[in-house]
Amino acid sequence: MRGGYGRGRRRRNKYLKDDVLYIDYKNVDLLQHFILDRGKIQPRRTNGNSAKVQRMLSRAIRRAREIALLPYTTG
Amino acid sequence: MPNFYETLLIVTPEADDDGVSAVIGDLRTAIESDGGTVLQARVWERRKLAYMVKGKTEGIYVIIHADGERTLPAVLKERMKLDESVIRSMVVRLSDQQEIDVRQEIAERDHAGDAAAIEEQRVAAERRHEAEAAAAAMSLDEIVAAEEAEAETADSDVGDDGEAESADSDVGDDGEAEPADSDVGDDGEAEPADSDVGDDGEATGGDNEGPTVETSLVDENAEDVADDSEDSTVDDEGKEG
Repeated sequence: MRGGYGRGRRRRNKYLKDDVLYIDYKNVDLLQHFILDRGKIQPRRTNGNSAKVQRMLSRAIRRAREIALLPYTTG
Repeated sequence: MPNFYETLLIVTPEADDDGVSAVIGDLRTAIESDGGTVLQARVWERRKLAYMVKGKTEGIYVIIHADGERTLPAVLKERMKLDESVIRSMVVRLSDQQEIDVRQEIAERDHAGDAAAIEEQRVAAERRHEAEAAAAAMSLDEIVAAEEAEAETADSDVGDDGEAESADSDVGDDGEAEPADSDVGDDGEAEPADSDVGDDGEATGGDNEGPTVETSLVDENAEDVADDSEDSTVDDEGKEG
């Protein structure tokens, strides 16, 4: 199942550490890693973000969408 | 106590340098007449928009950092709405840490090579947040005590900050920063992706229960259904037994 990341093992996030202080909504290159092909926000269970980081991330993505830095939807 | 606001706006791609500086100048005046201070106002970059805005696929992003009272976001939004060359805009209040970083970045740009000035900015920003935190921690009694103490000794700075904070709580500002209420549902978006994942087993299990019931009732359909759901019939036999 998904390359050995089935139940039990947590996938670690390679772009964001758990102790980041904030995520800048203007950092499009970073945010791009966390949206799916269709422009949706990647779920936490796939990227292994902590709840706190995921909150900051989704807020940043939503802000970026508002100002046309990221798409609401694609395709 | 003023708040630190970041304004990001998109100016129409047809605007030339003069047009852009006119917009910036206009907003600068607006901020200052509202009692705010502009820390920096500059073109961020010209880039492709992620989606069309007012029929444009490209835009000139302008970024403005300013200190201002809580009325500032509304003033700015209103002004930008009236300006035809601004096609999209957003005013947000940054997190404390990000504010410190931005201030430092600005200081570094303004005083390139002047280490003392940079350090000064950084310390000032940190002190501000410490004062803020201290004010938040202060109980009502302490505030009253502090006010009395302040009345006696005309030791202005410290006490003033404390007072301002307690009144200037952050409550209303978040709402302003987030006009995109529409986004609230976005968290849910992530869910449909479930289908890809581990849920397959459960989903098919659900489907199968229906058909097998039918098989027991209607023999004619039995073959078709059984073809579709081989696994399920096995499972169900297990259950029955």
